[in-house]
Amino acid sequence: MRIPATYYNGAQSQGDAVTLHVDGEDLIITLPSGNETFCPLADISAEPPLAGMARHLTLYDGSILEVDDHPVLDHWLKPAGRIEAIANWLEQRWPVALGSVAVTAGFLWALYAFALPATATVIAHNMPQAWSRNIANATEELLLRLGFGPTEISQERQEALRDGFAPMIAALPDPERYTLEFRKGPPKFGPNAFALPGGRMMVLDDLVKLTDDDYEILGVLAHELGHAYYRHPMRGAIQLGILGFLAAVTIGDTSGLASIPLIAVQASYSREFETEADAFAAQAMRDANISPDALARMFERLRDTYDLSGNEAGWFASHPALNERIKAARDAAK
Amino acid sequence: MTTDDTIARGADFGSSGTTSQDQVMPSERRYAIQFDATGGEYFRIWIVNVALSIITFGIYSAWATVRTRRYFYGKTSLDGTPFQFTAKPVPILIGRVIALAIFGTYSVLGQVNPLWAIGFLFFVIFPLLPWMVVKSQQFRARYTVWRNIPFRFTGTYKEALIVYVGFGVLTIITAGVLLPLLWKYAAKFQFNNLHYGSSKFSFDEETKGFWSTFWIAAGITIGGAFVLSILGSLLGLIGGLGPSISPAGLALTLVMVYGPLFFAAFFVQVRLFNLSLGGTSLEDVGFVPNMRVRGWAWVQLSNVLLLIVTLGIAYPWTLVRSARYKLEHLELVSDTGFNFEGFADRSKVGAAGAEISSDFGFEISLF
Repeated sequence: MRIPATYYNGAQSQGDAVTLHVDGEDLIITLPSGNETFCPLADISAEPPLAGMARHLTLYDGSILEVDDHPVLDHWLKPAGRIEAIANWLEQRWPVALGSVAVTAGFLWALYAFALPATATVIAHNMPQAWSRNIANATEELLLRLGFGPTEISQERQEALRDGFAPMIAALPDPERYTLEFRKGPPKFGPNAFALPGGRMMVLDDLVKLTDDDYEILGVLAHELGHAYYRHPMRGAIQLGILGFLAAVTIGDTSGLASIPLIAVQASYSREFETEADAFAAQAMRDANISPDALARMFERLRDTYDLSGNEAGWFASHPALNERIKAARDAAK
Repeated sequence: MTTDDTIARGADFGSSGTTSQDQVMPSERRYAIQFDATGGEYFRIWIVNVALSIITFGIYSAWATVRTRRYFYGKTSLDGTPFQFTAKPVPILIGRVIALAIFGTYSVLGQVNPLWAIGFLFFVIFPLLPWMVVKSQQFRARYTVWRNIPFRFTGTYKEALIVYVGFGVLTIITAGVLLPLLWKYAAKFQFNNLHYGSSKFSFDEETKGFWSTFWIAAGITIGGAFVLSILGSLLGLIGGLGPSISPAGLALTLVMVYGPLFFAAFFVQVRLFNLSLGGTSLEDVGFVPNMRVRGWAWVQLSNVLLLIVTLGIAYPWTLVRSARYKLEHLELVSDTGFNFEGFADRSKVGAAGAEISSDFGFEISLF
């Protein structure tokens, strides 16, 4: 068996068209002139195969033979690099590629579902209070710029709500972390309440005006207290930050375009946060001798007052599956 | 501006003769670079690389690097002969471990006390920077082989110090205005110190166009942002950054902020590719780069779109597309063919410098 090759001696860039065959333990190289030269097979180091590309065989004197990849080469030569041989076998196969996608996806999912939330929780709980306060201030400044004004809720009503809320806060470790503010929000925010980083909570006038039943408002406040207690705002921000960084590093895109899909990713985290905050609210209300049914009534009120599909989704814009949550609050009330 | 635009290597070659008759050179031949990589083929290599790297806790990544480079080099041919990437995985792994140790030290110091990290950056990393630049260029050149003759890089620490630290600091002090000088001297440093066998590349310092590239890019960025922000505020969509950001508002904001910046970046990339390679020659071999801003912008933007739509799965295709565009817009001209001689010294080059510089994002790359 003779196969064609190009011989490059390393001293000049011109190559010679040669043919190769094996005789015993030697590779015989037939030059264009018809003359023959040889190299012991044991002294040849062959480039491991890759994607069926031309192979380069390095001879004992540093000259190389460039050969189209041919099965006979692997019979002639000692196997080159076991790792690369396995890699080459794997790379040729579409089913392996699909399996690799599964391995990679599984790994990324594990990072996303376990490692990332755990990391964010650790960071959020060990972050200096001053940092989260700074971030809360920046967020509040942004909200003010969006048209948040001083509250129009009567002093008496504010006091009543604060008095009802105080025992829930007092029951927590480190109660001075948590503060509550009343604000009038721009119309498009609707009946809304937020937890900001650093334990700061904000409730909007439209929400307070929605009902005369203070217990229902306290239900919402308990829910926000749950967010603050679990440091959801900070954890969410940290998770998004880490994800954005990873996306930028892996995609090599520092422009921020990579962060667009992350908004969707974050939505599933926030669903978990909501469930956690609801459970916290039910417990905190029971501890304060308020039936969690008040929270269920508030959910129903929100559902009935505002068109879910409309623009004014307000407090439950990021609070999906409302009926499930009403049921959960009712169950907790039993 | 138009005179700058013509990266006329042809004119330079024309004047290499003694009489004006030499302007038409019948013996001059053009050589296109052939690039045969396909997205599907590289996808299989890439995804196996990723999966094996995960399973082996990153150890396989050195083999992955070698196989990726070997694939791209091997699929690139000049005059019918493919390039070879000849570095071995184990030295790359060692380099990577060293780089990781240094980067790890930096990160840990940053956790303990940010001041220490800054000190480490200033007193350890920055002095190492020129060394890393030199080492990565040496590494890249040494393990790029064509027709059994490796490339070589002979730039020195001192030169790298002057170019990247000296002009780098000057650029920062002048708020970026001296950037064109940094571009030009970086191109000179890279190409004037490059050898193929015993032949030396040379970069023509008279190459014009670095300054106009800078001013046009600055004009695009500032002018574009200005026009788009007026347009945006007219549409009243900027204010829509409430809790429920509308997709249209978000898209428009992104376009406004990044659109002109992106376009300026594409413009600079294309211009620098054309200017750097256009000013370079290897004895009688000249380079005729002809990347176009529109074509390159299309490749890059459609790549980003592909990545978003496929959640990153299209990454191998995007790499192949970018490489193909560049290589298909580079021709070589020569009137004697490619007759070069090898260089006796083939000593090895360590990978640590290259690995550290890519960790810290200082990598300089043509591919």
